[in-house]
Amino acid sequence: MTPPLKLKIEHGEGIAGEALARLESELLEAMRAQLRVTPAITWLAPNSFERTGKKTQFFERTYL
Amino acid sequence: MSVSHLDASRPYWNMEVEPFLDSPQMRELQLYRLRRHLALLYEGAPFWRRRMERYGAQPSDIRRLEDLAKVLPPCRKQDLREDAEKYGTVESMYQMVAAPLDQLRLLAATSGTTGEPTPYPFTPAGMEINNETFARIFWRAGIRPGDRILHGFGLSMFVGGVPLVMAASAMGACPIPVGAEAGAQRLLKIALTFEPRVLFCTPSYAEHLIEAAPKLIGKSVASLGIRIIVAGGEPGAGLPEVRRKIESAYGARLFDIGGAGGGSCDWHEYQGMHNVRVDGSIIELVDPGTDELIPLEDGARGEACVSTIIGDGSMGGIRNSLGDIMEVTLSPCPCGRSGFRYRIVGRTDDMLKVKGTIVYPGALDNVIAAFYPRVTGEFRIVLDEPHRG
Ligand SMILES: [Zn+2]
Repeated sequence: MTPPLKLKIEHGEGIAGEALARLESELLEAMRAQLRVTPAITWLAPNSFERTGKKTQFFERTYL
Repeated sequence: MSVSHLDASRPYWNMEVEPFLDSPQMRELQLYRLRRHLALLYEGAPFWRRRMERYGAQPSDIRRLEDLAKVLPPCRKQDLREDAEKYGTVESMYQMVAAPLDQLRLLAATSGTTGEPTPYPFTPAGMEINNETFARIFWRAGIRPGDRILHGFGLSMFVGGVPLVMAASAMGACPIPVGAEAGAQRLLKIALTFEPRVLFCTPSYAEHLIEAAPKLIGKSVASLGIRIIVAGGEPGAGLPEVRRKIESAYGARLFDIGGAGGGSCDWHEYQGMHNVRVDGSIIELVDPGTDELIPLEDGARGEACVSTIIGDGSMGGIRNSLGDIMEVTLSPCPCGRSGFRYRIVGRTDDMLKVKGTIVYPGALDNVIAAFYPRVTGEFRIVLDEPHRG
């Protein structure tokens, strides 16, 4: 796939501003160290994704 | 002998078979059953007969277990889909089973991420295998007759739905079939009312209930008294960070179950899933690109092909690939239980290659989950174009 790897991630309750920026840099560092990837992260509010109880869909496809 | 009379402290559900899953005789039994099963499918299951004919294979070609990979290629979802398109879904499904049409007793299906559902038909013989396999897995997880089980997997058509409820009931446990579809509030209220010792659900749903319980019932999941969680259907139950989060929030042990007859053990650190059905299925690893056989040795990794060699074909066919990338461990498990171990490290269709680095969504899941509660654990990978390998 064409880099960067794009991720949408739900942040926890009450995480914003400075705390969110810190979270992002720590998470990127962990991804670099453990998986050797540097994704582009879009942060979403908690419960943005539907919880179905079925198999989690890891992918969101923007093409048809 | 009724179930309640069996010794509840014995290590295995099936004391006649399970202690011997790693013995050399098991390979002889597998060969015998494979040959017998291929002959049965050749005679009675037109789908498999066609497949054997297409590749010039005869059941009698199999002299050693290694011969199987030489005569038949892996059977992937694409092969099933093509057959379903040609013969129709119902006809194609019946033709995979060596049993009369009136033997179908239950139908489940996987939706898959794209396209048509893949049917999972259950005949009496298939149900028997399903019940036995899950009795072995549940027993190893500590589930005993009479245990109340809150069933929080999806019930609608899902193989982890009604078939799992039936298996739990058949071993003597008492499933409460609420289902994920009922919603978190109902599931939690029923947990409060009926005090189940066991919870069945996907790892992500177990995580979701941790967040939801204080809001919906004013209590934490730790107060529910759940001691055993059987999770599966997605990688989370095998990921250290996800496991830690769920086990500590509930005060329960988490067990991972998989489609190939696998269940994780009670060892404090995750050891993969033990294959509890060595006597009834053969697992092979292949290179997903070339179909070449990868020798089954410690640490071997490849696309898993599963041949079910008992029953009538309704519990899976020959060299069926569900697209799982599996890593096997053949050395004995510290827990002392039988059955070689495997981990699902990803899926052939989920494998992402970013600048030459292979990334599995499960690995991303694990890194993200380590940041809980600063993240909820939910995420998606955005794909702007189809990916392949
Ligand atoms: Zn073990």
